[in-house]
Amino acid sequence: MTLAVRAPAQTVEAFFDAYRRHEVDEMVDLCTPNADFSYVPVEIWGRQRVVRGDGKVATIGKTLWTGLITSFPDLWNTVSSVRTGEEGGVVAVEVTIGGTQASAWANISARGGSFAEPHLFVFRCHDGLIDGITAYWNNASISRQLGHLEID
Amino acid sequence: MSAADLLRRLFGRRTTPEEQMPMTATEVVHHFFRALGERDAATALGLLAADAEIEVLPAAGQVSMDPVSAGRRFFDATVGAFPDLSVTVHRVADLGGGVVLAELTLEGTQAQDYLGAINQEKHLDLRQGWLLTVHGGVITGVKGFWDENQLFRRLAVKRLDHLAIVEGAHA
Repeated sequence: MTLAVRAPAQTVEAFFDAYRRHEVDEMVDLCTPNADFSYVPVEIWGRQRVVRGDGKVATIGKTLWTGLITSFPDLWNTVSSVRTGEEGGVVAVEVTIGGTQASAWANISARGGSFAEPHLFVFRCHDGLIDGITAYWNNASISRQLGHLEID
Repeated sequence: MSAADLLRRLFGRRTTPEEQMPMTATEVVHHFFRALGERDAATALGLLAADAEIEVLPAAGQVSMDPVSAGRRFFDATVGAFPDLSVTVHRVADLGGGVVLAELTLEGTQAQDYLGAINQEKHLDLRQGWLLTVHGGVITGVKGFWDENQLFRRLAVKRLDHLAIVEGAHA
């Protein structure tokens, strides 16, 4: 029996559905083993180096999603638009992600604050799986909502 | 002067088939960001419909919330503050229905105050994602996504609530 290959938009909707249920393994399973990952606003400046949110879904992506769900146990998302490119398996998604902070996240200590922030996700899909994720959002707005006003 | 030249002079130059073709949505977006990268705000703003809905959320705290004027002011401020501005477009994708995705990096050296940050002649490099809606050859909607933390960190601003407090200053 041959399984039908999901359309790019269906794969992406399944991804956000899994994210809504905090099923990180399911999110990863919707991606190719070597899928690229780039959370553009993520950069943590240390004394010696800068850690960026760039790498692979299986390593950086999974770690970030797991950490976010731990720090924001009610993490939610509401997808407002899913648009598929005319060619190349590109899918752009506007989604609002939010949650209430229960423990420290990156350099933001927990004050019990909540955030809700619009994001733009760009997916590259291939054969029913996600082969690349890039996300843009205003991290400063999340910091403000959580009461963290220093630019580290 | 030939008769053909006389007629052309009297009735205007004939346009080529290419000139008669309206720009596609992706061509309009390429043209828009090329104009910004050439610091040609007049051309870029000329591609925006007069009532274009512009959401540049990361700049909402620094410029008017009015969606039309805020966007124009944002583009004007960006071109004005970075005289060596360059825009590198990484991807433009037609999403159908006149909506176009653009992913790009904006770079430049600050030469005047920008969105509340005083000028310290710092270099800016900022990756951005944009969704633009194009109808009838003009841009009718713009949404920009980027991180103000990255913007202000590169411009040596230390606090989000006091943009004028800069690196090296002590309270």
